[in-house]
Amino acid sequence: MSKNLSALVHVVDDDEDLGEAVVRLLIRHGYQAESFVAPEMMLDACARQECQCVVTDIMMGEMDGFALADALRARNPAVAIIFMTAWPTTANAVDAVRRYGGLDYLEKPIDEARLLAAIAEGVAWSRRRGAALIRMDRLTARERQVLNLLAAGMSNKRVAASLELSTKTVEDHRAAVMAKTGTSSIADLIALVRDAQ
Amino acid sequence: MNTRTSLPKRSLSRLLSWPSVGLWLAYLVAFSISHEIARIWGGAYFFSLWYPAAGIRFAFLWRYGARWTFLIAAAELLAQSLLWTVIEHQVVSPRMAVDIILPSLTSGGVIAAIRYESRRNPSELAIAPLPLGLAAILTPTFTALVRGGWEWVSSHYDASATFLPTSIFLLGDMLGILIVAPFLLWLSEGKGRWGELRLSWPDLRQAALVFALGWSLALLLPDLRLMPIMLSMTWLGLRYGSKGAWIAIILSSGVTLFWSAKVPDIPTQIGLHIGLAVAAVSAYLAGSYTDAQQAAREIIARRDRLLFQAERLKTLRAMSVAVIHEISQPLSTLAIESRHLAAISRNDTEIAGSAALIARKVETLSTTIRRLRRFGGRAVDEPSPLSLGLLLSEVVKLAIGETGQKLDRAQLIVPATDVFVVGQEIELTQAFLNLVRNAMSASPTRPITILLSSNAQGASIMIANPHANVVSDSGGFGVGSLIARAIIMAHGGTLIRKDGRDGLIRHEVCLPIIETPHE
Repeated sequence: MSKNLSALVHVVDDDEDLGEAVVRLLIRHGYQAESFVAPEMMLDACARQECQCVVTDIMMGEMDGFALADALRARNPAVAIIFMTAWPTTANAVDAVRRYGGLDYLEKPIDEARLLAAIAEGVAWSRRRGAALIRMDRLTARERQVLNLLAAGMSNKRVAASLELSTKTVEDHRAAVMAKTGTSSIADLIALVRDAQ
Repeated sequence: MNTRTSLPKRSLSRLLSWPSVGLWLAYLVAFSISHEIARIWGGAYFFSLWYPAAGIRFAFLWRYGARWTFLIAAAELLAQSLLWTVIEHQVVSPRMAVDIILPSLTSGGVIAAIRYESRRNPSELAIAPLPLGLAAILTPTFTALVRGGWEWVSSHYDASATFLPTSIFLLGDMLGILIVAPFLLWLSEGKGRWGELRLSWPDLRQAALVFALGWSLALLLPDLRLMPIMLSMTWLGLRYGSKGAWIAIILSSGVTLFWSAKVPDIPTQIGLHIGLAVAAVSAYLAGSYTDAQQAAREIIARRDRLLFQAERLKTLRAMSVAVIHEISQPLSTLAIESRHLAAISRNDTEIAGSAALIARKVETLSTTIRRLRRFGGRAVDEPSPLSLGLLLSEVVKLAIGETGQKLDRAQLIVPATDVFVVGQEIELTQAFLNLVRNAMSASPTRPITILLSSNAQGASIMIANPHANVVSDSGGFGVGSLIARAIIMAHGGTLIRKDGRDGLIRHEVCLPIIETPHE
């Protein structure tokens, strides 16, 4: 529960009662939580304080849950998004996960256990990704290229051939990447890239 | 097996029953009268181009079955022997006896062959009314050929035998069949048919006026021959359909044929008969056209009603989905809050108990909402193992709940061991609901029975209801059993309706079964 203390979850639903109920539930489970009846209000709040997870309804007023997801991703790629809806469809479920990067697609009436599990997973994912992105933030464009190819399992020689560089240059970039990201092995690099995705 | 072996005995006993004897006597009288009437307008060596007795024979054999062939032949032999003896004071010779029985034997043979083929052959030719049409053409054709062949053979052995033109024989029987048989068969379809013949007073007045005008013109302007009559008959066919055409044909035939009997020369007589044939064919075509138009209008009206209902159902579905949406929102809140209340009220057992009860009920409602929503989804479209006992039990509950009747309106009998089939739950429920609903509508005051049984071949579901003489309009479209049949056939099964002599109407569904699934 202590892990959750610093996690901020935003709940967006045009049904204020439901939003408040979910917020109280999350607070009881150790999260910081806040509810909003409109996506625009939540985006304003996000500008002031970044959250780790957003639980949002899909069908709302002018801005729906998917548009909110796009706007959130543009601002903070490390935020976990969980969709909930009273109008579930297969097409929406697929879009929610594959196109809008949703962690889960919950059908109302909400299954409480599943909601809590999804939020816990989302917060953990958000933290991992946020940390990975921070560690990779100082890398140059070339270093990112080298990092991605190494994480894909290529040897220094193959990376060099692929980027038309000398092996020595690639070894230098690799050393720089490890120094900047605080990693010590190729396994660490792979884990870092996986967390950042 | 017992049913199969006892069939011939049952058929024989049916033929020897008192109603059958009455039917045979009625045929004997009807044949004798129509045969004698035809003599009035017949020629020296032939009866007529219009031989109504052939129509009565054909209608009888088609209605009651070719098993009557020998009895019909006996009746005709008896009738003509008696008439020949009483009127001509002569005894029927063996050759004449063969002449007399050949048409009935040939007609029975042709009708039996067509009936057999229409049962066996699933092609379009076996769909009504084509078998009747084929029989109406082939029966007089084969009769004439057999009769012609017989005369040709007998003329080799008896030089005094009169050789009649086969074409006249063919036309006489064919026109006799066309004029009499369809009308008789139509009348035999039900007691209500006589009522359908009634015309309103303005219609009757109009029909009589047109008919009288046609005949007046024909009598006043002999050069026109039967042309005005043909026009008036055609108009009657167009105006009132085939029933109007039949009445016009019968009335005109009566007048023309008796009129032709007074004409001294054969060519004029035959000319009148041919003219009448043309007028009858024209009236038939006009009547059939009007019937087809009427049927098409009814089909279109029915289609429109179905489309309207389909639209209504779409709207109702949208409203149901909206209600599900509206319910699911507060249910989510209730579920979260009631659980929380139960959790924090552990010190107060009464509040905790109430809160837990609310939480359980909310959970049940949530499950119901999810189930309702799934009904419209793809998951339920996938075939799955289904317990027929449970499914039929649900169907009975639905049907009784829908009509608001007592539970004893439908008696469900299921075997001790449940029967399982693979199918789509909603579709099969719909099929059985349609059949049960129809049975309850058909027997509004008496209980119906649903009997489930199974054997190695499959599952059998029999829905039986007592036959009611007067059935109120259920407000349906008459497509319930069609939909049920289509669904059952899509599941590899069959649906057969049997009207029992015990007054019960049975719908028997057979479905392939599977072994009891292991849960």
